[in-house]
Amino acid sequence: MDIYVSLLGITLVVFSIFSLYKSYSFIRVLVLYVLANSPVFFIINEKMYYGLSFFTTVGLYLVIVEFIKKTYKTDVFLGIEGLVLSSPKLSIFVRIVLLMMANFPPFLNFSVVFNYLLNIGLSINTIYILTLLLFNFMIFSKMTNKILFGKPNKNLIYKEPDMKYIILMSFLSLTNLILGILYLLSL
Amino acid sequence: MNLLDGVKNATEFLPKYWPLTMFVHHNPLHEFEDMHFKDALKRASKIFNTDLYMDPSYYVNLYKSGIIRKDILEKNISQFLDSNGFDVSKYKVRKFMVDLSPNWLSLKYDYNLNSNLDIYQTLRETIISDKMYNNLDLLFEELINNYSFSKLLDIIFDQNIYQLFYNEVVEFVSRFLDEGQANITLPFREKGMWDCFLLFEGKSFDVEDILKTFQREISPRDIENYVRRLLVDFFGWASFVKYREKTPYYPYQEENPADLLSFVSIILYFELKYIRKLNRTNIRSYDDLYEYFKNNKEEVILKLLFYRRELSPEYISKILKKNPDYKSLFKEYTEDDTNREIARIAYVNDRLFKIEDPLEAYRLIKLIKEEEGYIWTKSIEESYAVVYGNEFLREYKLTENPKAAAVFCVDVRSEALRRNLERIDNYKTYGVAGFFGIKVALIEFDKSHELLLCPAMETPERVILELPSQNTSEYEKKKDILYTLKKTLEKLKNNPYTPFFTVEAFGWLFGYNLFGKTLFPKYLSKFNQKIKAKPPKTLYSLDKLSEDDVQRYTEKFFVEKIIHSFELESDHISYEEAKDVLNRILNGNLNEKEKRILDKHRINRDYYGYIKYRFSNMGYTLEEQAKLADNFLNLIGMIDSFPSFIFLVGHGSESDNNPYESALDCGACGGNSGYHNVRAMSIILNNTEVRKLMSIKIPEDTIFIPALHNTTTDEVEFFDEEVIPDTKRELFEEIKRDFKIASVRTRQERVKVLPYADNEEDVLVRSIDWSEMRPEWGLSSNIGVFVGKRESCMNSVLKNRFFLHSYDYTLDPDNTVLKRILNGPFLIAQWINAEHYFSTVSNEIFGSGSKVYHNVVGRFGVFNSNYSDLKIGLPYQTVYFEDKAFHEPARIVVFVEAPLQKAVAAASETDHPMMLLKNEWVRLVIIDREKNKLFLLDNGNFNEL
Repeated sequence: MDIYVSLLGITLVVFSIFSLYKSYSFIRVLVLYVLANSPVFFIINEKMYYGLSFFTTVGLYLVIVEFIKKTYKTDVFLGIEGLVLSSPKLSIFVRIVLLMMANFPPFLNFSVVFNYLLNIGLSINTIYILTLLLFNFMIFSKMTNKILFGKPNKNLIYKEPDMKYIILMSFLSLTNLILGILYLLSL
Repeated sequence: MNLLDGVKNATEFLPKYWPLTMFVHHNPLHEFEDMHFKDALKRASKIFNTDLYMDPSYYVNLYKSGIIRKDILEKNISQFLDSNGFDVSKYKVRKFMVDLSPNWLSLKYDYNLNSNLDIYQTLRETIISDKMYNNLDLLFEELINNYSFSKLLDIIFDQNIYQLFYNEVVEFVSRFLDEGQANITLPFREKGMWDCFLLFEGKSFDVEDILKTFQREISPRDIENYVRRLLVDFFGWASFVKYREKTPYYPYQEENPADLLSFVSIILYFELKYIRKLNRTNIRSYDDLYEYFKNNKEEVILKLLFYRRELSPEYISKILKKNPDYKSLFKEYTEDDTNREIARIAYVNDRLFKIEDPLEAYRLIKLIKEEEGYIWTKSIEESYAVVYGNEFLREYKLTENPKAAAVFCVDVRSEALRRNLERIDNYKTYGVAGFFGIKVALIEFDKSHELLLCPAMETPERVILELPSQNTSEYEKKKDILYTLKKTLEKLKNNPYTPFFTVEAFGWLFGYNLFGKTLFPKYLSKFNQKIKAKPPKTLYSLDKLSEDDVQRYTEKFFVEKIIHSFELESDHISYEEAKDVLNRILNGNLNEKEKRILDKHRINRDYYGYIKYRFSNMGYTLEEQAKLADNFLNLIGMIDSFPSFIFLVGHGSESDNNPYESALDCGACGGNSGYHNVRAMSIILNNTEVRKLMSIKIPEDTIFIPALHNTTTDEVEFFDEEVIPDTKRELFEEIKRDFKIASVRTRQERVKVLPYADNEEDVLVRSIDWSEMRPEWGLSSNIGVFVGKRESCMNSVLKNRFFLHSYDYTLDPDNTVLKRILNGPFLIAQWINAEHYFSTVSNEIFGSGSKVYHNVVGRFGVFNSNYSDLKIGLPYQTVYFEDKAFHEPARIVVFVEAPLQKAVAAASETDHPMMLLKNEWVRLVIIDREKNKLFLLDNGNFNEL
């Protein structure tokens, strides 16, 4: 069964990699991320942890997208470059979600997936997870380049998220982070 | 005008870019200097599509920190209002510039017009017309002017042609211009750029064919403009090719000649090639593009605006949707944009200006926005003019009979050291251009090429040789061993078959540098000094060669060159045979074989003439040396009261892993250290035979000692100490101690402005730290030139921001000295200042971007990644710190201490300096001590400050 899921996963990752090349829509990227990552849920042992990491990541991503959509009336990540300089608070959460998506430590996404990877030995699942990690990293580098860095857009009035958003974003980030650390300590 | 003339005209705006090994600060807008500064920037801004002033918020910070004076700003605002016929309070305009303008785009764009709605609606048409929204043809022309055809195809039809064509051009030109970095060099470079290119591509046509084909196939409306546009994209490369073209005796140009016409044709060839190959649309020429535009105006304009980053994310998002309705989208965008502009103007007018006619209010705000950069820049300069001018107007008396005198380079970095030295004891210091009056081409001991030790805009008068005065066998033996070891390792590393084996066997050797430089830089540096071959003591061939010597040396040089060229063709000839060949070259009766070989190595009668000319230019006669010495001392006003010791202190810098190292050396010595110049001049001045012929009488016991100021560590090293008699040794040692204390104090002063430096030790380590981005601040933050007596500025703390040139107008009755200063140090300072100005305001285009991404290319420059334009200006880290400009971009303020009439008379007898003054590329302040007044040259008038 795992083999079929992994094969499906690899197919979805390859498809996602090609689709990502010309994707600038936040939602489209999220769909690709979900598409490529969801098969992991069926092969991984730590389903609860993985589910939590997945939902906190997607949740945080959606909250950020919602804020950007509401503030800048856009659903694409073009034209809002330079967040690091012009909107530092928002840029922190964007960095966090991208790190989570790209399976960077010490977030839960990293702990669960890498622990799984180390335990399975060499199999088709390994190939799937490795290609998936590559895809996740591609999202990270593409969005980092397009949103966080670069010269701020002169035709845009940058705004910071209000307290409501900050609380929500902090909650999701901290949940993922704390669970990640706890998971690592429990190993 | 024919095609070739058009191309030639298109290249005229390019500056020359000197190779990185002899980095010369220059004005990237040098070719615009015949226009007024403000107009030149306006024109350049359009050509290069960049802002040439800082963001208003930057100037507001300077204003709030007190650097820009309120009264000066208001005076300049008044001038602006008067010249444009506005009857508005200058205070209101100041308020607008300080409080509102920095946030112009976010300023109340949703302002409710209420009852004034109708009044402000009258603005609509004017704004629409100004933004060309009612004339899309015109807007299209304006927008496409900034892009090449291949780029337009990419922008409008979402293709990828431009980058591939660009990469191919960079690939060819970087390989062709390579100066020894490539392991496998491009063949046939000696045939010249065009012929080499034809062989590279396997084609056969001439330069004009390409231009005609491009004109016929792509049909740009104006080829001159089109080529200029393309050259903006290849600005760095084209500037370097221009340098090569204009410097025919540059060794690499002699070997592999390059020229701009060939370069332009190569660019056009590659663009055409890639358009033919990759263009998937039916748009094959500008005619097709205009046709397409006729039917899809809104789509094309929106895509161009999107590419220019002029759309907000809201519209970007809408454009990227599937099948967007471009017409309604464009309408929505233009309405939105116009409404926001109206709201902003209404808000500012209602709250601040309260002008009845909204059109007048709009005209005022638009003009302020256009000119505020210039007003702010002018205000910075004039604020400094007032502050420092008044300081310089106060005179202090120096005590007679100084302990010693020291002549430093005019360079800004000498200021602190001079001041600190003067405060230790009774020292008198002077400033002079760093070539110390001796403009020479020098062939160093153990090297074969000439170092041009004079300002880049001048040609050296003479050639001198550095010759060993000690036995060199020990040095040569050690050097040979180290050289062989280095070359062997390099070859093993770079050979395609050996790198794996090399890493396995000798990889650890590279760890020596890696760990040593990272963990123990100080110890490693000391150790390296020990194992390095110590060069022998040297002298210079300062005396002129006799005619017989010239003939003999030229013949010897040529005969050896002939033997060498035959050897390269696997043909050995004897010395006598080579001599016969030389005679046949001169008589013009070479046989076919000889002609073939010698032509290949460019050995011909012209070259013989040139070499003979160079030999005849070697050294100076005693009379000439005496004249040089007189001129030098007159230039700085040192004509009597000579102390026992006079130090000639040149400067150089020291850093590791820094391609820009020569940018930190002496600009007046052509980007080299001033070491040779001070030594040569000291030898001349210490020569008793020369002293006898001089008009200035130097006492017998006065000794000139050469020294070098290391601007990274602020340490001073002395040379040729053997000329000091034992009787004066003690005094000399005491002076040396004083210099040491001055160095320590200068370092302590610099710690305050150097990033990540907490103590003196941190300053010293920077010269050997290979990860250090800023070994020193170099010439950044330069703001002024002072030409006058040291007494006038010695009590001012100028924080290494001023070029200081000694000048005493009472000793210059016919203005000769002042004219020489204006034609030399003045121009150098202006080039340095302009380089810093443009690298700060537009680092992407006129600077070289972040050092982090730099790769050295061909050993003559740097570029980003593997394919980018050659970066010609200063790195981001040189002029910025933590995203804040460290260098204050303003034109240099030149203070000349002389009576007004005298200074004007001197300036009007010069060409280039006068043009710079007239067009306000520099700001001139006259310190008229006789009237005890300051005069600022502004709009062609001298206004009292």
